[in-house]
Amino acid sequence: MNIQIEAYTAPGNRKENEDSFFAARPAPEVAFAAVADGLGGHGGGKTASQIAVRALEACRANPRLPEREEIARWLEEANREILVKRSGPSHMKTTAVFLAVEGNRAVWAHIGDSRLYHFADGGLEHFTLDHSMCQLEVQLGEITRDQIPNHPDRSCLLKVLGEEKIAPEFHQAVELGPGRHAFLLCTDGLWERLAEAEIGLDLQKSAAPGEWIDYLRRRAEKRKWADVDNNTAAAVFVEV
Amino acid sequence: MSCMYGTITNGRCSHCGRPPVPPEGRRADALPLSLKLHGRYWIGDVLGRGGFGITYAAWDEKENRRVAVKELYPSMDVGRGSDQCSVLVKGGQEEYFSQVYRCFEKEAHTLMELQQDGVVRLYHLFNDYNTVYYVMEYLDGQDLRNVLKQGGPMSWPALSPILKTILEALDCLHQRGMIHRDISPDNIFITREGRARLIDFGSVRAYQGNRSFTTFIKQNFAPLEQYKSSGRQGPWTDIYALCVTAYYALSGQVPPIAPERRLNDTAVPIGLLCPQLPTHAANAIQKGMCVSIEGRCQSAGELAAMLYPGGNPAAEGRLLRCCAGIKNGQSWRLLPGARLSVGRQGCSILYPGDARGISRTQCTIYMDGGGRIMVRDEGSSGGTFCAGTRLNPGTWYLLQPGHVLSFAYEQYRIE
Repeated sequence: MNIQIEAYTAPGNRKENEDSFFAARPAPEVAFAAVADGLGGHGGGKTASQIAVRALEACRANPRLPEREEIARWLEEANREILVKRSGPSHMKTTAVFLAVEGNRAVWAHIGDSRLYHFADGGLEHFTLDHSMCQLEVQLGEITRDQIPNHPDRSCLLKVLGEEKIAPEFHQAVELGPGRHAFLLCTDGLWERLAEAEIGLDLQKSAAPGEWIDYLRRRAEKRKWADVDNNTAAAVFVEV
Repeated sequence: MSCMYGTITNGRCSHCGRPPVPPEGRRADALPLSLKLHGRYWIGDVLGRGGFGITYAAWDEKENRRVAVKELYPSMDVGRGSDQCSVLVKGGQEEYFSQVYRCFEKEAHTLMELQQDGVVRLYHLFNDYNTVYYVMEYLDGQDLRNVLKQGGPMSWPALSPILKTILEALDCLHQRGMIHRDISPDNIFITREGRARLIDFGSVRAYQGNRSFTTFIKQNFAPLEQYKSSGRQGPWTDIYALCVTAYYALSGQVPPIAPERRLNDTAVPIGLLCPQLPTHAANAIQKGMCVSIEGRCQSAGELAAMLYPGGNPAAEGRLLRCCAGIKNGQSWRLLPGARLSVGRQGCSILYPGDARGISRTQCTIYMDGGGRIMVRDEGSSGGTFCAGTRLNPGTWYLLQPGHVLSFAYEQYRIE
C-alpha cells in the first residue's frame, strides 16, 4: 500500500484567487483532499471556499474513512458559517469536492461543478456529475458531455454551499482493487480547458501525482483563453 | 424622526412604536440623520440596504409628505467623503460605478413610465453628492413573503385581488416591451391598506452582465429560459414567476426549480394541494407555470382571462359574524364597495348607548372593489384589535378570512 498526494492552486488571469484546497496524509494509509471554488466576488468567494475547506479539514481529527453522515455534517457546518458571514452584495457561495482514502477504500462527496475523476490502472472508473445547467442539458440529451467546457451556460450552477437548504451528493464507499488508482479533484478553471481523454493520457505519462498535475497545468496553459479562471487541483495516487 | 411620522413619547415613536436610533447607532456610511437632501428631503431612518444602495425614510418639505429615498451606494466600491455625504468611488472601480449608475437611472426611468396602481410610484430622480437618488412613495406594510410567513397560506379570495393588481401592472410593463424578470413574493409589497405594489425593477441580472463568471441560480420562481443564456425570454417569463408565486401563496410550498421539473416534473398540481381553489383558477395557475414556453399562457391578458372569467374576483362578498359579546350570533354581508361603521352612535352596527368600552364610533369595516376587506380604528378610547394587536387609529388594515376583530367584549370573524 502506497499513497502519494499533491495539490496546487493558481489565480489564472483573475485579480483574486477564490479557490481553496487542502491535501493531507495524516496516517500512512490515509489521505484526504478537498477543493472548493468560491463565488460571489468582493472577496466573499474566497471566504466561502476557505470556510468549506476548513470545515472538511475536520476529518484530520480522525484519520480513517469518514461516514457519510460525518461528511454531511461538515458540509452543513460550512453552509451555516457561510450564511452567517455573508453580507452586502457578495452573497458568497462555494462549490466543494472532498475525497477520503483509507487503505483500499475510498469515499467522496461533491456539490457544484468542482469535479472528481477516479482512474483505475489508467482507465476512467468514476467521475462526478456537475450540479449545473449544462449537466442537466446533457441528461436531457440536448448536448453531450464534451460540449460542456465551451458551452455558454457552463457557469450556471444549480447546487452550491451558501443556500438555505443544501443537497450535496455522496458517493458510496468504493473498494479499490489491486493496481494503481489515481484520483483528481479539480475546479472548473482546470477541467474546462481539458478533454477527459487528455487527463487520462497525462496520467499514463506520470509516475507521481505532482508530475500528473504538472502535465495537466502545462496542457491547460497552452489553451490561450482571454479569461482564465482560478484553477486548483489535488491528485492522489494509491497503489493497492 | 424614525419613520417621519408620529412623535417620540416615552422613548418610542407614537406611529411605528420603535425607539429612535441614536446617532452612534447609525452606520457610518449612511447619510446623516436630519440632512436636508437636494434642498427639500429631510433624511430619516435607514429603511433597507442592498448591494447597490441604501433606502431612507424621508420627509418631503415641498410636498409635505413622507417618502422613501433610494441612494445609489454600492458599499464595497465607494466610501463617504469628509462631509459624510459625498460618495467617493474607490480606485479601480470607476468603470463599474458608472455602469451601475446607468442601471440605477434606467430602473428609475422604467418606474417613471409605469405610474399606475400596481407599481410603486416614483416622484423624483436627481443627482447629488456624486451619486444618484430617486424618491418614491413610502410603502407602509410588508412584502408578500413576510405576509405569508406571518399569516400562512392565503385563500383564493384573499390572493385574487393581489394577483389581479400585479397582472395589470405586468400587462402595462409588457406593452412597453419590457419584462420584470424577478417576480417573487419578495418583490410584491402589500401595504397596510391591503394594496399590492410591484417593487424592485432593478433586474439584478442586468447589473451583473458578465456571464463568464460563475453564476448561481436557485430561484424557485425563475422559469427555465432564465437559466439558459440562449433562453427566449418574454412576457411568459414573468407569467411563470407570478404563477409560481401564486402556487406558493396558496399552498405554502414551492415547486422544484424549473430545470429539475424539466427533467422530472414532481410538482404537485395546485388543485390537489388546495382542493378549495376554484377549478378555473387552478387550471390557470397550472398553465401559467408550465415548464415549456409553448404550454404556458403567453401574456398577462391571457392569464387574467383564465383567472377571472367573470371579471370581478370577489363579487360574492364575505360574511362578518359576531362570535362573542352583545351581538353574538348576528352576521352582516360585506359586498364590494360596502362600508360598515361600528359604535354607539349613528353606526350601521349600532351598540346600546351604555355599552361599556365601546366608543361612539369604534371602527369602520370596508370592502373595496377588488374584494379586499379593511378595518380602521376611528380613534376609539379602548382600542380595536386584530389577532391580538392593537390597530393604529386612523390607519386601514387588511383583514383576511378567518381573522378575528375584537374590541371591548366583542369579537367578530370574517367568514
